[in-house]
Amino acid sequence: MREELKLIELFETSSKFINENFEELQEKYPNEFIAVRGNQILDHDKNPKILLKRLEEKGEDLITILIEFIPEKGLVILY
Amino acid sequence: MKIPLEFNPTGDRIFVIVTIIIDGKILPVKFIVDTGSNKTFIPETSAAKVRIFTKNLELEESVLMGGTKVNLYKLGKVIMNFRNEKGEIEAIEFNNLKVAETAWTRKGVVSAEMAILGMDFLLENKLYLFVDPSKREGYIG
Repeated sequence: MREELKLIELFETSSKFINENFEELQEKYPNEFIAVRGNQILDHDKNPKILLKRLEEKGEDLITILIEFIPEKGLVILY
Repeated sequence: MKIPLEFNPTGDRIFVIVTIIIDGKILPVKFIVDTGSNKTFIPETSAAKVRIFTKNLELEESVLMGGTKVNLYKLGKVIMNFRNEKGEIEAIEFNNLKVAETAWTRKGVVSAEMAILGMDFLLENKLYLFVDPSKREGYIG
């Protein structure tokens, strides 16, 4: 259970980083997916599959990476 | 039992971070909690992190979500680990987790590939949801 808690905490840190820097991220990566681990942006792409493949090729530990879509300013995502 | 929820910057969307145990592998996922959805699913890019691909899963149904057709594949029974208000892991079984694959998107529509925790999860586990957006307080209990 220790590993589960560590992963939840890591994702919380990544999520908080996105929340706190959201406006800046919207300026830099509109309508792109960003890959975040903790307080660090590892990569970004418009296509999440390509992004994932590139991260895998770089040898990144995929399960520790939060991939999130950043909508452009004024765009509201309904689901 | 109380599982605290996270709010987005504007306080109008709620999330929960979970680790899912699938075939002995651990997959952390950030779910949007959505009582408007009767399905719980993760995007195919999340599943791919633990080498689970839709081509190996059974297609259960397709749904239309705001200009995007999404195919839902049956992942089946999983254990979902939440962190409760005491900071301990709360393991909850769920029999109906699905993997969502975007089949097509209308031109100009953006597919955001989100993980959704829907009503089916709450129903199956007889859980309730409390949300007070003005106080940014919310939990699953």
